[in-house]
Amino acid sequence: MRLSEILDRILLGGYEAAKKDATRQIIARYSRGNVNIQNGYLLDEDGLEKLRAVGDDAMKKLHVWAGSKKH
Amino acid sequence: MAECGEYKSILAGISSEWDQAEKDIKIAEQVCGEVVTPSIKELRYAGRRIVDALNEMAADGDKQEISNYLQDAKFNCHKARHDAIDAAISKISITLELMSQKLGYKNIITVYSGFSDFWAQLSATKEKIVASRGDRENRENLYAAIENSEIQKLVVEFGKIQRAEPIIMSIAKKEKMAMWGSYAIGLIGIIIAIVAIFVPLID
Repeated sequence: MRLSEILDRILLGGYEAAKKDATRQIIARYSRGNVNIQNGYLLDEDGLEKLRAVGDDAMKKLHVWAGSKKH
Repeated sequence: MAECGEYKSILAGISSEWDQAEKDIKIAEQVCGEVVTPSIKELRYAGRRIVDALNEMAADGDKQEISNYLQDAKFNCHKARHDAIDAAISKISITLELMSQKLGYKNIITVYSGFSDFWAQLSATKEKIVASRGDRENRENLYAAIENSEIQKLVVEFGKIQRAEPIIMSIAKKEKMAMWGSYAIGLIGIIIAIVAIFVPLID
């Protein structure tokens, strides 16, 4: 345990650590990770790279088709 | 390739939902950059569905399937909006609770006098979110009201309290150090008293 963590625990009742933990819990709560994995939406890094390129192109087309002036 | 014009209405819906989700993510990012991860993931899933739909269109695939992919994409954008708002509200709420628990309400009020009003404002918004859970028909209107004004006010107030946080922490630390100091002095006093009483008895 680092000195800053010890001081946080002694002087602030673990305030900083509790904030970090709360943020992790919020992300976990809204991620619904298990459901998406069950539905087969899991992507690895390589797949994500390829998808990102295709997705960018698709979004440009979508905006044109939807008649939007925004990108 | 299938005509995209057939899906004009749903594509316009996706575009509008996506734009709103991005706005909400930008607002939520001001609260905490990390908590927007679930929203960004939802937009990623929406992107995946759009790619699937485009693929089907290119292959002259089943129209119902294309429509289903696009409906899924729209729903993912919708979830991204709600996740951004919910995560931002949760982050604000938990931070305020931790602040009052760990740093002390008195110390917060000393530096940031608007704490009570902020808390009341936050509680009212949380109540609306809770109400929206049981009111599916009106949920969109409730969230739109939160998106259009309430969340922005809460983010501004949260920014103020975040800027005040280092000062509040410093006051809380000094208070705790004074408390530990007085405990230490008390303990030393007790040890000296015990020694003063028992050492003559041993002799």
